[in-house]
Amino acid sequence: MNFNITPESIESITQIKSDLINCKEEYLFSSVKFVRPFVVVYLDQLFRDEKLAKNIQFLPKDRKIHKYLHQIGCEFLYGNCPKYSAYNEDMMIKLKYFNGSEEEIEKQTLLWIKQDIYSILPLHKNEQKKKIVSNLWEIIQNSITHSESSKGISICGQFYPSKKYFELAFYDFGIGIPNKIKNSKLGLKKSEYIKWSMGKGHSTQNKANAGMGLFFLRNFIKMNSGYFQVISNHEFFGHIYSSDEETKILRSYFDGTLINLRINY
Amino acid sequence: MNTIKVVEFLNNSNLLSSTKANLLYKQMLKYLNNSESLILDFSDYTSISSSFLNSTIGQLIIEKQLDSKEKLFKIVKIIGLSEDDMDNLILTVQNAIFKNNLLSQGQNIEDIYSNYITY
Repeated sequence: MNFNITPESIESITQIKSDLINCKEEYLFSSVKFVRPFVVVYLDQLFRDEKLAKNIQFLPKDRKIHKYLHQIGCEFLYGNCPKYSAYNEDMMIKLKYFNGSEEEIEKQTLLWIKQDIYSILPLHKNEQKKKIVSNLWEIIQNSITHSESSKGISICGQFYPSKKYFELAFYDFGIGIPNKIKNSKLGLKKSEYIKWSMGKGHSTQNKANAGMGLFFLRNFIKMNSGYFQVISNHEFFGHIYSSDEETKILRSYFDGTLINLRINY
Repeated sequence: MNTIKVVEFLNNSNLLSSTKANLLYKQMLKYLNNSESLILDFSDYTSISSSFLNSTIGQLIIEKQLDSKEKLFKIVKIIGLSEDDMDNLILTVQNAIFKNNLLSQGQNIEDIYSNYITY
């Protein structure tokens, strides 16, 4: 199973959900040798389902993966954490879960960025730091406001200091961007929904002063020469197989919205 | 001319939530009801979000039915923003003016997106 973020890997993790739902008691996480943050946030949101968390014992077979999931902050793991020290915990952006009022989320977001991201970034990058705060807050706030999910948003990531970038994955188990836009009756073609949502001034809210958040995020990532992917419902939008932005239609339905960012520093 | 020092007024240098933006917006309206113009001073801010801009400047455009950025800057002088954030503010202003003009002519939002906006 390939766990780089591609349409195929997204289809694979949706299979995990089906397997977990059909699982009786113990789920042996055995098909992977390598896990990325987008898988962690997906699993975290799945296990925010009380029934699943109560009834399923999630047991990673590979001890490196078990250790990684434990270190990054997964609370749904079953079994003792193996002793294994290959991962540098300082370079992990640990799993966080945000939910609540706008003011609470703002406080949580600022604290998280200060503790988990600023601590690694070079001190002189002040202008970039400002942009990081506003853009990350925009993703989190958009998700909480528009996803219609009671399960908030899960986030984690990884620093790659030798390459001078970090990656972040955000996932909410909500309605999804295409479904949200379809409800607005804009008459878009299938495969255009996510791209449309990132256009200047585009919003499902029927008012003039809205629709700049994702547009600014897309501009920020372009200016940064970074990388982003947005996966929601049947669409995979962004950089696919390292090419320019494009949209792929997924063969299987993907619940909610996953945003994966790479930010250079 | 009255000046609102934004960071001092909100007691916060991170200008992110629409809740805080609404407080500032009410203060702006209060000042503009008593005077023709005001200065919005963003000095010492750390970060600013699009929703904050939408809920302050964007909302003012709708409230006052402003149809150009020149008219906005005639009543609100903005100082203390970084060049990048000023660019974003101008994009936000253009977006609000453009859509507000069409909405006030009776067009609905779906038609505006279908007929005028590209990506």
